Amino acid sequence: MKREDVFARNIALWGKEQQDFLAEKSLFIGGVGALGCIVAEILVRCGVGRLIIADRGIIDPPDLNRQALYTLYDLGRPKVYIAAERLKSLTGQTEVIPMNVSIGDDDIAGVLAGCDGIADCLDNFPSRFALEEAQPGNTFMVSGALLGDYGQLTSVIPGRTVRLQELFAGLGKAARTIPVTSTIVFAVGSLMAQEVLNNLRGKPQLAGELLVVGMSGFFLERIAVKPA
Amino acid sequence: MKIQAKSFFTVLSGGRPTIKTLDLPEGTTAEDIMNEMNIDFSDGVIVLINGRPSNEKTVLVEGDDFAVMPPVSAA
Repeated sequence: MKREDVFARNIALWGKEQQDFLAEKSLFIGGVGALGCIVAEILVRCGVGRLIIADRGIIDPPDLNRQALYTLYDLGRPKVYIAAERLKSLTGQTEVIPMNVSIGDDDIAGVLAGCDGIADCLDNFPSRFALEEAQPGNTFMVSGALLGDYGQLTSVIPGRTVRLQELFAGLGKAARTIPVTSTIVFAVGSLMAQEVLNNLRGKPQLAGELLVVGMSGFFLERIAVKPA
Repeated sequence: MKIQAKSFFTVLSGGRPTIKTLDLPEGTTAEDIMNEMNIDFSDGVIVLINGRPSNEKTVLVEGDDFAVMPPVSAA
């Protein structure tokens, strides 16, 4: 199958040069839970050349309300391997490398050094901080998070924007089950994927801004955030 | 002193942010404002003063722009 055929509708929008540009890019996706599944799927459908996906989770029944790459038949299996299989089969144009690792416990610095950017789709602050610590100075990281039908996202660019560790100082792992539904997941995941593309093109919209999304009230607001 | 205060906690329940102009005594902290706005920050909170990350103990001054958001970490 020819790349030009698979991505004919993309090329109609942004041209062959842009499609070739994306085919040369390599991205790291931390976490293939709810947001990670959406971000990864969109980037594959956009034609990014290589995705490294990292997660050490197993697919459980409570994941099925929002984690779009998984089905009933995947229960009990490791997320990264199922996600990699599905992502590879979407277009056949993206190299997908699964890493069954826990960010914060396993060393990922070497892998990140070969990437153009990072999507932080993790589900707790300590892991997000660990990923930020490992972020190379010449890359961007798009970070998104959810609570109920509320979400927020931003771009973290070393030396230019506020760090997650400043913005979320003192916050730890939630002690209770956090409510999340599929509508906000798809919306924020889609916005994150767009911001990854914006960063790849050198035009981030959320460097120094936090985008707040309230799903049921159709609320969107960009808030300026400066380093302390 | 006059402080412009904005809470995004009301967005959690499908609403718009709550915006208030508060007239407060000198020495007022971020925690005092959150109590004034009836915000439950027992699970943590994100505080921005003039767009800069701050914390509950930060003392505000005349004209400060105060924003408070829920701690959001799930995916």
